[in-house]
Amino acid sequence: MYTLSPDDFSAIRLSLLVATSATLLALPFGVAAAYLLAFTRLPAKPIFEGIINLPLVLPPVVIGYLLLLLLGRNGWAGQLLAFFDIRLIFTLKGAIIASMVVGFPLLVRSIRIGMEGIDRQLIQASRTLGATWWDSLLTIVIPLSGRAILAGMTLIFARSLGEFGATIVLAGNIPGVTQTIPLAIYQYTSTPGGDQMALSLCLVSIVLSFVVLLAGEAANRTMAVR
Amino acid sequence: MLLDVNIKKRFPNFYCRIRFTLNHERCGVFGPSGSGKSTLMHLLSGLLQPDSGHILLDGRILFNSEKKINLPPEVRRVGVVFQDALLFPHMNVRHNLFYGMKRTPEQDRHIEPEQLITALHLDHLQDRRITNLSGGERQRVALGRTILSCPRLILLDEPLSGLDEKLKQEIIPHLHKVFDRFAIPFLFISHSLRELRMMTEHVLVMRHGQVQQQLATEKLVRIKPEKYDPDKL
Repeated sequence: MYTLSPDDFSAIRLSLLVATSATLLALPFGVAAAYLLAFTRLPAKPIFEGIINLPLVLPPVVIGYLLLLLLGRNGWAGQLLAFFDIRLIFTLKGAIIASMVVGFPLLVRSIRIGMEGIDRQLIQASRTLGATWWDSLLTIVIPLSGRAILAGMTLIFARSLGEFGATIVLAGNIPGVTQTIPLAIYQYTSTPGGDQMALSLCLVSIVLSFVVLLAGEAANRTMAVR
Repeated sequence: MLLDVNIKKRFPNFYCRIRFTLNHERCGVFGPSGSGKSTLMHLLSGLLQPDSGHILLDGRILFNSEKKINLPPEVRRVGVVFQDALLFPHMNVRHNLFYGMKRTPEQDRHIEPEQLITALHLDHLQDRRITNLSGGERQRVALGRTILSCPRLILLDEPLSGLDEKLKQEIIPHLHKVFDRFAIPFLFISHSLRELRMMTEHVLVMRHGQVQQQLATEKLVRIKPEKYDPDKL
């Protein structure tokens, strides 16, 4: 019999919270980075692109460790945050940041491909019709990249649901605080007799991922019809 | 319209040195491919910035390198009808038509949209998606969209070149009708003498990035065409 404990429900809730927050917080940065890559001629573009894509090839544990060094008590960003009394390590915020960083390249890649498919002359046409740069971005570039943005959001959300390595290093595995579904499964598998509970959460994870993909696909189709 | 242009623009393998003064309402820009016609359109509309010089439209400075003035395209009020119409694919005909008008200051909106839409025979197309329009319909929407933004000058960048003869015959009367009725000066860029003869009264002849000659269209068509563009004509 597959059952879920209160801690499992908490892990499911935290997973959804982390994935949603990471997706929404990363979105404006993802759009900005994709725009820079798709439309500008930065001299250091390959380096910028390399930095953005680094989390795709680095082991998540390495990313988590680097974030720990950066945001930890002795890291320069950590010291700055400490000055404002903000603590990220071993908190839910840390889990969200870990998910954002790991999923960011997936978001940017998808949006960039969409933006590169836009005829630049459409943007020029909007400018000659009185649209400012911002207006053009909001009325032409973003709507025409809508499907790519949605695909990127689906990818980062799904990636965040499954994020493990960076999260455990940066945010720890604290039930009810930072323990998401993958971390709870990890804990069950390292506890004698926890197999059944791990399997229950595995099923939940499969269902959630499937729902995300289906919802993404349905939204994509709706936008295509429009 | 009084358009005074004296600009330079250098590209890696092309140099434009454009100098002319126009005081005609219906002008053409004639020249072979690669003569700088489209570059001129980009420079006038603000989509490209000249290296130096000035552009004045009815006494208003659009660009002046000495005074460091370079008005961005959105405030120049120089409308462009592009060769490929360039309608916004995510909007229907109505939203395309009103895109520029919504961004035009209210005191400058002097064209009655319903009149223009009727003149261009677009009434029944307003709820259509862009993908469901024919080539001629697309160009009519593009023309309407630009005119509704109430520009002081319209640049028509080879608007008929992508259309077959039948569609050209369909759209030319519309062009005449709306330009007669709404009295907007235009620069009609083309490498077709026939189109220029039908649309303009005065022509700038461009070659190698320069305005080589300025003359009445009537005179241009009397000159042996091979003198200007043997490949095309």
